[in-house]
Amino acid sequence: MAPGGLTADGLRFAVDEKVIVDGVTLAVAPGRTLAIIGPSGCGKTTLLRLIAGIERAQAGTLRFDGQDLAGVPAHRRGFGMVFQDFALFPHLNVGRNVAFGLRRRGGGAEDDTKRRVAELLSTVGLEGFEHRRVGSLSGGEQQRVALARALAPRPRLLMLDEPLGSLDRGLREHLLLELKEILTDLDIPAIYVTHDQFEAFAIADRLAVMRAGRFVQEGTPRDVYSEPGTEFVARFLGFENIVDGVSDGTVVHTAVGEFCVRARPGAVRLLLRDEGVAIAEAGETGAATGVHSAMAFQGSMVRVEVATAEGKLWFSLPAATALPPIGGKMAFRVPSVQVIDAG
Amino acid sequence: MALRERMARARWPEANLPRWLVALALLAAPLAFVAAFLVYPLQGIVRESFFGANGSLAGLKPLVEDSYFLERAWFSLWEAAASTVLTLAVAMPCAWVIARREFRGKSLLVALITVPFVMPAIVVAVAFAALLGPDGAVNQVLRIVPGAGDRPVDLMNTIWIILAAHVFYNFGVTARIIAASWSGIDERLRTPILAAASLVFLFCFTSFGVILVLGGPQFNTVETEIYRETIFQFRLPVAAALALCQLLFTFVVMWVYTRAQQTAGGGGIHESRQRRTSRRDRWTTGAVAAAMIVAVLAPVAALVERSFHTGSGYSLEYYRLLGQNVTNQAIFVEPLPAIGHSLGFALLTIVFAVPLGTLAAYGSIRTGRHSQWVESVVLLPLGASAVTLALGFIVTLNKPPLNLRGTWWLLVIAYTLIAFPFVMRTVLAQLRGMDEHVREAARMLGAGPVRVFTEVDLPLVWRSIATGAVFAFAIAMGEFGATLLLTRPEWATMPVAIYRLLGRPGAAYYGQALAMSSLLMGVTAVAFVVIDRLRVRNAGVF
Repeated sequence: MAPGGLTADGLRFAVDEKVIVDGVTLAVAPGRTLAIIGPSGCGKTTLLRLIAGIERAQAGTLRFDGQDLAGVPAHRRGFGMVFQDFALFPHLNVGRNVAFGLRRRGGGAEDDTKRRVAELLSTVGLEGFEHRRVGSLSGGEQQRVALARALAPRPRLLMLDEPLGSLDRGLREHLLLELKEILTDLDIPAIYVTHDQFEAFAIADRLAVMRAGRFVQEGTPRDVYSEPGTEFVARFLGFENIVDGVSDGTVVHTAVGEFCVRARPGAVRLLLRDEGVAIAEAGETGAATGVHSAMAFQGSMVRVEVATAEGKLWFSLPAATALPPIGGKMAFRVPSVQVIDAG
Repeated sequence: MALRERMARARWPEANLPRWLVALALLAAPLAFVAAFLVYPLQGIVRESFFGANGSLAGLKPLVEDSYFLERAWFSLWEAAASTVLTLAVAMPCAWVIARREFRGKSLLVALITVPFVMPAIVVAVAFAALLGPDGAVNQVLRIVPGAGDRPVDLMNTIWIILAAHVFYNFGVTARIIAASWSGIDERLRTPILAAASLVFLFCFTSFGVILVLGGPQFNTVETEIYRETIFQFRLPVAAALALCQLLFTFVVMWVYTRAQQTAGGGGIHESRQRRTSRRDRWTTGAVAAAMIVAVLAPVAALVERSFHTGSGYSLEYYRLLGQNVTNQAIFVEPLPAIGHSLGFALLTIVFAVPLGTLAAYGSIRTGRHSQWVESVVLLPLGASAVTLALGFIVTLNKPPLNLRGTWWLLVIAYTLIAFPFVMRTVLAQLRGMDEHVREAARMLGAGPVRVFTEVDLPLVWRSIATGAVFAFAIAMGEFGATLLLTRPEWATMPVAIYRLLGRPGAAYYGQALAMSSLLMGVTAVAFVVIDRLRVRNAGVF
């Protein structure tokens, strides 16, 4: 591991009999952002709390820059955290919130503190907000203060727990880009937890999908998106067209059609991807056939629902595509088909 | 590296201790206090009623054999039931106004009607004597009417004055409880009324000062009977048996209250849902509000007025007399030192109740889902009547291992036992409302346990701790039942001094009782105003 990086090996945490984090191994290098995505209750927040030192792992090791963190309490780790609910100090104004982490034993000069607070508030676009009351801020402003506060003591590592989760969509996309810029400039490892795959794609250098306390897939966002290993990951990333079939080695036979894809002979599960989908002749190899059952106009694209023997499938087509009437038979050429594991 | 880690561990043990151990460490003192000064004395009461004096069932047998005790139980029950019904009858219109009407000064009115509930029982009793007694304010007014006679109204030593005092005591707080649920969307009123009713019933059933002062010798409830058996008959086993029966009964009522409260929900006054007001509605609202103000202020005003009213018009004579020891009988209570005793004990009560209550609150919150359980253990002292607690002290704390006989520590301990659950409740309400992430955020920013407590917890919690402290002070100042059983002339408190003054013949003594009651009421009123200023939002009344 590069100097200044975080490594975790076999982290495990359980409350009573319930295992919440089940042997997680990860590594984040400085200047890199690891995004952890998963449904709520998958253990992603608890994993952050283990790294933060708020909770203590029952097994596994956690090292930062080679140093074992086992005996180091949360306030000695020098890690920053942005909480989903921001957790600002309600009794302090914005400036004092941001300055909280700057006042260590001995303390710096008053002027230095002031300058640093002003600098951070300007980084997050809140110049001159020092004397505002926390309660008077909007959600987006509170989020920025939380970020400035976490960054003020120059943390060795930054953790963000669904930092945009409580904001509305437009604001979220806007802040996401700013956040990405700030993280890139920092040159420290960052861990970003979310349940929103688009947020994760936008911000991460590496992406881990978490389920029931384990990492089920890890890689660059592009890799994970283009090759989801399991049905769970595929569905979590938003893929819906998953059908069962039987492989004879080179061709997979399914109830919706036949697809040329190499797979071990026997029962397999196929992911029919959206990319490059086009209208095809019924019965053609590499095409899914069904009955046009619904359609939604989405601007440049139309989303078409097809009822098949395997249930409903959805495909996006250019808006100009000529479609059969609702109830008519139709087939889609699906150029991108992948074999995935059940689970 | 290993050494550095070990040092870090030694320096910050908190980070590595299991949570339950931290909770247990915090709860150790409060639980030990409850064990030593509640469980152990109550155990003494059980033992005394079964095996006291000459052995088998010495205490319980007379209860069954002598119909006198059955009559006491019967009177306690119907007196409490009648008080409850009357209180509800008065409280319902008030609750309606609080829940459904919006008018200027409403929050002040709501605060005002809660005042009687925090007034010391002895002060309420004296105030009603000053209002409805033979020389009371009502008679002063009625005497002007020609042909009315010298004492047209004399309710002293009747059931009516007892009931009136009980209604005065409870109607405001009852109205608030009912109004709190009434103003919600849900209009089911049965559970809040049941909760309020069981609470009022409990207070009236174990009422002591009001019965003793206003009822005179012919009205004895179980509670006053325990006192009389202990002090005058010195039949401890019988007193213990009575206390035991009363305790079992109150626990049943408390269980009903807890169940009802769980369904009734929180205690805050919500924004009222007001429908279009007609002129008639406005008149009714005005009339009810005016009645509430009169109901609260009449006894209070009568007490203060009477305390200044000497034979020769108004003067400070009675207050001046408090400064002198007008008698040379050794057993008599000197008024002025009593004020000093009360203040001293009340301050000591703060010293003990605030840390115990705060520790209990922190320990309770750390136990996570067992918090409710811890809370009910700490609230147990409130289930036992004051006289029962004192009796328990008398039968157990007079010999090793805990021999406190003849020391005023007994009083401070009793006050602390009654007060610290209140401190816990106020602090716990604040802690429950606090975001745990705020504390964690401070730790992530490099704050150690001490800095988290001083810079995050204290600024957020100090109001509730201060509120608890003022509660503790007010409780200690006004406590009467337990004090009367445990007190000695050398360290009599204000309520005891008032009671002793009332028991002496002569206008001067009576006047001093009025003066001292006014002072005590003033102290309580100030405490109440302070609490109201400090009030933590959504903390609820109970």
